[in-house]
Amino acid sequence: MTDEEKFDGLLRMSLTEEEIPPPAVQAALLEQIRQQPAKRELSWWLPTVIGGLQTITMVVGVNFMFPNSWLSLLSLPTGAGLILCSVTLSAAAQVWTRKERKRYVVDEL
Amino acid sequence: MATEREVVEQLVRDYGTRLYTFCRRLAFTSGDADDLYQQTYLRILDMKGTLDLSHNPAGFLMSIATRIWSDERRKFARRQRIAPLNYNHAQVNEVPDKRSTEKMVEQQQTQIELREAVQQLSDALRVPVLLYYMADMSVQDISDVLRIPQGTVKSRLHQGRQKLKLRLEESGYDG
Repeated sequence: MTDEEKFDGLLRMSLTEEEIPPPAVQAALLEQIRQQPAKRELSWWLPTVIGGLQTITMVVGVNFMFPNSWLSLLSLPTGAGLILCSVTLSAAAQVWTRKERKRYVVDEL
Repeated sequence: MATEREVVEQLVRDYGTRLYTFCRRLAFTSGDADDLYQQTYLRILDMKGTLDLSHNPAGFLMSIATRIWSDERRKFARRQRIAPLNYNHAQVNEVPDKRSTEKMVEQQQTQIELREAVQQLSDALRVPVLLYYMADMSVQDISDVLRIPQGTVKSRLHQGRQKLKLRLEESGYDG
């Protein structure tokens, strides 16, 4: 065993000498975990769909109230553009969140 | 199927001691270590999505503790100034029986000195050393957690080791 390995072993042994969490801390932690309300996961695409439906409703409303006007003509590309934007942004946010989560996860050890 | 809370409770039971030891080495006072320990598990509960615990769960927990600690470093550093580091030397006397040799006592003393030396390293050197030796993380993983290049991690590990060796040699360690 080289000096380097010997030193590494000593350092590892020294740092990993276990320290037990105080029982009060442990009990308080478990209590806090149990008291946490259950999470309700909202699907990432749901707000986008709701937003899209709202936009469509607005466009239909404008077309119904002002048929064949410049406003109704303008509302179609604007609505489509808004929906496209929200879909793109939601997908990008989802990809970014996944990437961030992966940073926490330690692989191949 | 186990709920998220049950999974986290299981993590507390399985890895609590290892994580707490890590927190003790990372934070300066026992109060900070207690806070950090609890915050780490509560952060996991807040994390969105399913936990991937298939690889090195202890390393995963320690990387989260490191993130929290570096986010709240100022708070912890301020507390350290108020309550400076006070390492427990009592362990030297905890050698189990009378037959314990001088060598064992010496080894215990060396370990304590080494832990103190680690505590005295700058944060930039201490954190990679702790993650490498305590969490069994690779240079690549440490670089991901700390968001610094792999070369920097290697250089900090090297510097850390050299400083620790020097410090031990000053107090009589001969390898």
